[in-house]
Amino acid sequence: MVHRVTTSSINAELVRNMQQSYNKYADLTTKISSGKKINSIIDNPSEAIDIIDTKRELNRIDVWQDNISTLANELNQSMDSIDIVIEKVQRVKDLATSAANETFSEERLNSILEEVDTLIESIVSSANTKYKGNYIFSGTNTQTPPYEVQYDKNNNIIGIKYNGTMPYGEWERQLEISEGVFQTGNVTGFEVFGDADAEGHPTGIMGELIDFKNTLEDIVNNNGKTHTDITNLLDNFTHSINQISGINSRLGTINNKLEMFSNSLNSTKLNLKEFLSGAEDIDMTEAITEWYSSQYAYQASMQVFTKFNSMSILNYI
Amino acid sequence: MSNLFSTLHISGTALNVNQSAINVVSNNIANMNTEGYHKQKVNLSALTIDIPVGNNINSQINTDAGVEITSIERYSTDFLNSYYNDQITEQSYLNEQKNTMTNIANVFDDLEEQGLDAALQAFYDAINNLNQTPNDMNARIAFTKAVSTLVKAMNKVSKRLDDTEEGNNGNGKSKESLNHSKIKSTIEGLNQSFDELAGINKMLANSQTGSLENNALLDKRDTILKEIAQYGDFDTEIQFDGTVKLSLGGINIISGEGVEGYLGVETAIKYDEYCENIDIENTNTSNAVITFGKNDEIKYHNLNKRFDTGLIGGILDSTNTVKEIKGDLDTLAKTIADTFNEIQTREGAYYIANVDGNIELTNENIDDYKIFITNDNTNTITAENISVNPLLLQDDGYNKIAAAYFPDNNPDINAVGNADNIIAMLNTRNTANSIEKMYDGIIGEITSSYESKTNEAAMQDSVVQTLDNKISEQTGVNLNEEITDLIKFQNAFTASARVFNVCNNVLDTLVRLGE
Repeated sequence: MVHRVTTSSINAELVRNMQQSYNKYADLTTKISSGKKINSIIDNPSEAIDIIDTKRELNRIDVWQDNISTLANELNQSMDSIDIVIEKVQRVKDLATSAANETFSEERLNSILEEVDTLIESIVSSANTKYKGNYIFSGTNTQTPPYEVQYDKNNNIIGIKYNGTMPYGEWERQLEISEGVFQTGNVTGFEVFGDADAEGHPTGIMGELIDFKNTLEDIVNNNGKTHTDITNLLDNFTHSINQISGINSRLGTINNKLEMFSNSLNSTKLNLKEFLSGAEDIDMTEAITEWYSSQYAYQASMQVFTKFNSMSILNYI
Repeated sequence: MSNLFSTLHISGTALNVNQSAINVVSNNIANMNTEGYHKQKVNLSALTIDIPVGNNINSQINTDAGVEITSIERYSTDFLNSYYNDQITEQSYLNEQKNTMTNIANVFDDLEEQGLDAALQAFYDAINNLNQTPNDMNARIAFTKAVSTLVKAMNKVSKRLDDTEEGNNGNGKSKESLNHSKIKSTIEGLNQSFDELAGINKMLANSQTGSLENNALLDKRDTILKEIAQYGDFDTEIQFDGTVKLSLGGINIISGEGVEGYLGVETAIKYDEYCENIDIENTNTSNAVITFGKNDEIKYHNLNKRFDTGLIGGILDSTNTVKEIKGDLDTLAKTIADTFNEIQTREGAYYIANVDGNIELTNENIDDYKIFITNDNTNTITAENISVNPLLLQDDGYNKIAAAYFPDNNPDINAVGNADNIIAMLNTRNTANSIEKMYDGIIGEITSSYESKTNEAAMQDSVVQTLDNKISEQTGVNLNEEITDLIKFQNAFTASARVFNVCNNVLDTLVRLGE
């Protein structure tokens, strides 16, 4: 049999081709109008997981950056409070220097004592700073003020008790700042200011404050202490101020580290967004060029179809 | 004057034959767009002389001759049909598998940011939030809400997968759900085709081969066989009279005019009951079971194995495909539940509720402190039954969330800022086999399976298309051919008529000779 081309087979073929061009045309039209290359995982199966992963990563970066800013804010607050404390301790030290002067009268010493009491109370209140509802120097006892001033029955300050957690054990509060990297954002009051519990062993600046106050009282009450004892205390103050400043610059280092992390997260974020846009968003220039050419293809197939169908031997008999 | 009458006779046959030929051509033209129509052609032959004419040249010329139609040939491709039908069977199988995968993939609408992955992210966000302020009531309540959203997302995906399967094969339990399923209506459609085929067999047996009517019946037969081929791998045997014997893996369905039986469909559970009663091996893996029988008497209780391809095979397969994905999802649900329940109830995990009294977790009360439990009193957590412990959703239930962790089991009840347990929960995200990576695995399985099914189906589509073209090239109607034939036969008719007239005039002249 001679190879035949039948009317129905060529019709079917033409219709199929026309449908194909139409599908492509319609597909591109939806893509251009939505601006997205893929709307469902089956639109591009091979890239679907990458897209899901990228979106997840971007979400995590947002969370990490939020954590970083929370940490940075708390650190700044800590450093500010420590600075204030240092300032006040400096004032106490100045008072101590004056008090070491033997010519000071009892009256003068009493007024220094009064000022020291006020300073102690204000130092304690600075150490009891809160951020987002948490006492920042309490370790993990975030709902308990880290320091409480202890008074005797005559309303005399006899100690400053530390109520936070100890810098050994459960004291850290950590936030995730990058995958699996947890950054501690707090420092315990005990480490910074020490403890001067009336019934315990006094340490740190708090201990020295109480020590100074006790020595002054002893001098006023002639309990065997002399001005030389105060001169001895001066070195301790200098030492403690240096130590606290050291802690403050350590916190500053953490802050720098956070900034570094934040910067690197930002650049990762940009890269991921670029990838996501490449995978998801349509390249308009390319799409519209393709759209026009598919439109021509569709028009051409329609024209061929109508031209072909109007052609037959019938036109010539 | 026998010779003149013989001429008249000859032109008479020619008039008849050409008229019939024009009739066939007009039938071709009329059916040029009919689905399954095969072009027909008249086969002509010169009339044979059935008496001895001897050697006399005059008597040889003057003998009755003429033209006749020996048969009406139907352009057919019988040699291709069985191969073509096999390809159609395969095509509908692959396309149905592709459909199933499309339906499954649509359940995982993660790119629209409302799927399971979004719920998982929100869940981890809530954990992170809780880490920032572990003792905050609102953060705790937000956490329990995120857990609720997560389990609801899991339940929803599981339900939607079930719905996909229920639409295909029913739920395997209720007759009602089976009655609304695709498999049921498919089987009904197939049974109708059986009836039609039997009817055509009957008409074919009573019709003259090579006639227009017979050819039309053959067209119908082939169309129905093509239709039946979509459903499954049936064996067809064409008899000499054009009738078909239809069987399926040795089971006779149609022979001659009679339908031996119809296909039916049963729920899996009904089949299991049947198996219990008569103690046969239960090999069923689908929610629907195909049966075969007549007049409510079932002869074969499970033909699923015989439907390993075709539309029916594809529909039956979906139970397994859905089951696999659901299995993965169940593993995911169980991993989520186990991971977080383990952290929440490990030794050293600390509950604010402890303040009221010293709670020690025992086998009896441990369930009260789990985050995830089942909602159907079973022990195994699945995507379908995973739910939040309702105790956590009670007024002060958020206190049951163990944010703090004291490894030496010596809780410092003031350390409300301790979030070590929360950090352990956050860290589950950073392991090589994290829940999210597991979920990626599921999506990967779906997308790659969808991709391969789509490719297979597309390849098979083009095989069928090529065959389709080949068949329609050989059996279809070509208008130019028909019009040329028409003119050809018209000319022959006109010419014969002229001969007839001439002959008639000659006879007339002869008749008037004596006047």
